[in-house]
Order: sequence, then structure tokens, then C-alpha cells
Amino acid sequence: MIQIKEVTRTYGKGKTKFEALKKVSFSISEGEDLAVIGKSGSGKSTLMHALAGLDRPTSGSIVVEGRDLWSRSQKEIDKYRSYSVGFIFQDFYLQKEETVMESVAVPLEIRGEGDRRNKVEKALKILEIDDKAKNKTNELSGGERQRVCIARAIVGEPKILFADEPTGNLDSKTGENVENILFDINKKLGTTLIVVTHDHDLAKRFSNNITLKDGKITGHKGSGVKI
Amino acid sequence: MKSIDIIKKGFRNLNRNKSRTILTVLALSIGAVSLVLTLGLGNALQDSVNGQLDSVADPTLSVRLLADQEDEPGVAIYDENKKIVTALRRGPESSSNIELMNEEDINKFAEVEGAKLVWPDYELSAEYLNLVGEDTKYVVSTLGIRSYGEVDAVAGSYPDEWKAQDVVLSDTYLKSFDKTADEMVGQKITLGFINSENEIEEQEFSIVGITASGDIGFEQITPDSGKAVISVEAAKKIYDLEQRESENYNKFISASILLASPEVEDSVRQSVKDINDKYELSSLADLTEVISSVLSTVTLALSGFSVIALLAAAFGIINTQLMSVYERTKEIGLLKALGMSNRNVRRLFSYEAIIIGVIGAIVGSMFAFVTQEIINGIFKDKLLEYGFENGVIILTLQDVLMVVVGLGALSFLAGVIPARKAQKLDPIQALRNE
Repeated sequence: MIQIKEVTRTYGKGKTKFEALKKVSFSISEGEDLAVIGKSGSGKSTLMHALAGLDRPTSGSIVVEGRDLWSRSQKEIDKYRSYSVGFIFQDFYLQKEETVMESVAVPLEIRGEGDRRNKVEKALKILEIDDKAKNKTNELSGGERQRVCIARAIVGEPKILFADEPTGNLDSKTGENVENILFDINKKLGTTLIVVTHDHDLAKRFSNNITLKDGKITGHKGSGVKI
Repeated sequence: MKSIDIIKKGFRNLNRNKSRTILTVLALSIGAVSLVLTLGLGNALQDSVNGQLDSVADPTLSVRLLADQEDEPGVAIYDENKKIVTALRRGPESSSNIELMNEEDINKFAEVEGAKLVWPDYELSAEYLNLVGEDTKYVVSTLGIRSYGEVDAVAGSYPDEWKAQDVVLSDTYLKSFDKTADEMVGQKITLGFINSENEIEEQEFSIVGITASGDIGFEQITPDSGKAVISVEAAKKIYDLEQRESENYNKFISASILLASPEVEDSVRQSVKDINDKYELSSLADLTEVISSVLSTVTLALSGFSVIALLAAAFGIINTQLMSVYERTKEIGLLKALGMSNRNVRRLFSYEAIIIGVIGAIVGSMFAFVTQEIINGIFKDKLLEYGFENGVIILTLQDVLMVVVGLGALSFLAGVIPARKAQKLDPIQALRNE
């Protein structure tokens, strides 16, 4: 269970003060899939960053794995990001000189794991790009790159997988493919999947969704999510 | 994250921007070359001086008795009983007023442990010498006491144990006697001097060796001067004959102590000082020390210029690393998002700076090594002539290691600002950054 209680995130001070999230509260059960829908500026990315331990909320609490996330030490938050969370970005953030193998191994490297090869190969197999393991990432197509990103996100077998507009930069056919992969991982590995999108067609495929507007929840759907 | 993985990542990053890395490394290595070469030159100078000092190495201590310091400023008051003489001023620290010693004072040094032999520095002079059976007499410019260091003889030998009648002559007498060095050895000579009754008195000696003229240590024997060297025993005898009736008999400016081994020098010095704090001791080791400290100072001063070049190169590292942080903003953001701690991000950039520094030092040392081989090889003969037996540049592993460690530390410091910048990057801002 992930519980979000009255989370507020304010940027800036005085005249330039801007509230990205306004006392947002909801909870989502583990293993569920959730789409956070909203236009740009609705606060959906801010919410995801707060959940992922990247952006500290101004007030409110987020309880993950039975403990408040943002009252943990920085070391524990780093550990949470490293061990519990997987990230998929709209921009791939791949180093073009690195091979697929090297790129996918980065999260394990950060953890300090010694034997990375087996886990990387396993992740590459799940994403069906094991034949490109030795290729440089800049030799890949957009869909392949996004699959490398997904492999990088799941290589450490995280409990929660975050995706920020994962199909935003892909054509619809490739996008659909990537969607299927994400749902597959959610079902087969039992990973909680939280996707941020403005794409209603994509959101429709999720069992649960919440809609954000101007930093507030304006609607929700599904049994896994409680307001 | 494991240190080895951070280092590997650092190498990958540096490799990614090869030309920039190479240029930064080259800038550093120029400073490193000049620093290593300067240190190598310092070593060579030291080595050359040591080599030349070894040839006059003499395990003896020279002792003088300093006069009491006057409380009154200015020149000391003359006191008949104090027997003070003014010796040559030898350095800013040494007092110019010394008191004379007598044989009884000097013999006390013989009881000091580690003192093998003690003798007053007899002031001798001889009128002439001639080969026994020949009439022509030749001037003796210097009549000296044997050295206890190693002296090379061109013929015969410079004995370790001297008999009372042994004498070693400089090869300047060869022409005068019209004999070869080997013919001279074994010949008998007569040494003439004026005794205390103002009469010529003669002593017979037997030539055991011939030494080369020219530069012998600090002494120079010109082709028209002759030197004769005799044993301490013979010197005492001649001194007695010359000075017995004189007012200055048994008054010595200085004395010599032959050390049992070079290791006991410190303890002998202390023991002599314990007898009387006014004793001033000096040895070749003092001179070596003075020369060494002068050379070290010169080397240090020259190194200063290289350090300036290295400082300039350090700014190159700052520049390179700052550019790297700006270029890799997104990468840093991603690494942080994936759970890399701020501390490890800082370490990554610090290690990269250190890697640049260490490679620069190694490349510089290699250039310096090549330079050493070339210069020492090409000018080998010329250098030998000037006393640089082992070359004019002598690199030591110790110096190279010092430069490598020093440059690593310098680069680390240069990398602090960029590394902190990377450490402080907010991952959200970094990822959003277009």
C-alpha cells in the first residue's frame, strides 16, 4: 500500500510562488496499475517525483513500505530509489557511447552489485533485445531505445515502476508494443505500475486512474485506488 | 557504489571526450616534465658533489677552542694570559676569537670513545729537499701531514700505515729529478729545515709514493710547487726540532681527531663538547651538509617555476571538469534518479580529476625519462669531464612517486569545485534541463 496524505508542493517564494500540488491524498494497493492523467502543469510529474523519492514535498506525507518516505535519511531515500523504484523517462537518457549491456547495468552498478551480467541478460530477454546487447545505444531505433530504458528500470526488480509519458516519443504502433510490455511486467512480476500521461487512450487501458488538474485530484477510477 | 566501478566510470567518461582529456593531460605533463627534470638535475648535482667530496673524504674532526665571549660589545680586550689569537673568519657563525690549546688539552681527546688517534695540527715548514747523493736542492712549498682519506698514488702507494721515515711527494718533482714516478719510489731524500737554534737540520726520508698534481680535492698543486707529505710521528719530531725553543711551542690553533668509523662522529662530537663546551668541531660532513642545503635550496627554487606551470594546468583541470559537469547535467540527473548518492557523484568527478592528474604526472615522468636517457647518452664524455659521472639528470623512483602523488593531490583540489557542483545538482532540474 502506498499512501499519499495531503501532499503539497510549492515552488518559489512570494510573487512567483506556485503550488504544483495542493493537499493531494489517495492510496494505491501494491501490485496495481495506475495512470495519473493530467495536462501539462497539472502537477502529475511533480506527484510522480514525490512518490519516487526525487522531489521533497513541501508538506504532507507519503508512506511506502510501511514507513514515511520523506522523513527517512538521505541515505535511505537513495537506497529506496536504488532498490525499490524503477524509472522510465519520456526522453531515454541513454549515453550514446555506451552499449546496451552497459546502459542496463547502471542501476546494479549504483547498488554496488558485483555480478551484474546474469541480471542484465535476464532483463534484456524479457524485453526481447538480448540480441542487441553489444550494440551502442545510438545504433538503436526509438522503440528499441525505450525497451533498453525499460530493461534498465526493471533490471533491479523494483517493487514500483514509474513511467513518465513512456510512449510520448514513439509512433503509435511501437507505443502500443511498449504499453503491452509494461502491463506484462505488472502482471508477471507483480510490480506496481504508475504511469504519468496526458494520453486518454493510454489511460483507458489501466485498471485504476486518477485525474489531476491544477494540483488537485478531480476524478478517479478503479478499485485499487482510494481517495 | 563500489570505488572500482566509480573509477571505471571515470575512465569511460574521460575516454568519451578524448581530445579534451589529452589536451588537459598534456598541459599537466609539461609542468610535470620540468618538475621531474629539475629534481633530477638536483640529484645529479648532489651526486656529483658527493662524488668529488668522496675523493677527499677524511674521517677526521678538526677541533678549535673558542675564546670566551666578551660581554662588552666591540673588539675584545687583549689579555696576555689568555693566549687569544684571531683566526681566519670561516663563516658568519664561527667566532673569530679562538684560544690556543696545548698538547695536554689535546691528549684528553684521545680518551674519548671512538677517537682512534689524536694529534695537534703542527705547523711545519721545510727549506728544501734533495735526493740522497745529489747536490741540487729543491723548494718544498708545502710540508703536510698525511691524510686519512683515500688518496690515489700514481706510483708506489699512499699507505694506510705510515712508518716514521715514509714520505709521499707530488709528481711535480719528477721533472726536477728527471726520473719517472716508478723510479722515484724507494729513493731516499733529505729534508732540510731550520731548527730553533736557527740552524739547518736534516732528516732522511724514503719515498713510498707519488701523487698526481692538479686538482686534488680542494687543494691545487700548480706545476711549479712541490708538496711533501709525512706521517704524524715524523711531523711531531720536526715540529719539536723547529719550535722547541720558540715562544709558540706547545700552542696549537687546532687539533685533529681520527674517528674509528664515520658512524661515531656524533658521539665523539658530543664527548668532546662534554669536556669543554667551548670546543668547536668541524668536519667534511659539515661542508657536505652546507653544500647539500645550498643545492636543495637551488633545486627547490627551480622547482618553484615548474609548480607555477602546474598551477596553470590545474586551472585547465577546473575548466575541463566544469565543462564536463555542464555537458553531463542530464547524465548526472539520471544517475541520481537511479539512486546514486550525492557523495558518489562527487567522488566520480573527483576521481576523474585525480585520474587526469596522475596520468599527466606519469606521461610527464616518461618524457623526463626519455630526456634523461638522451641527454646523459649524448653528452656522456663531456659530462664525465665535468665530474657528472652518473649523468647530469638522475631521476629517482622516489621523486617520480612524489610528483605523481603531488599531482594527484593538486588535481583533486582542482576538481573540488566541479565535483561539488555535480554533487549539488538537483536531479529534477537536471533531467528537465533542455
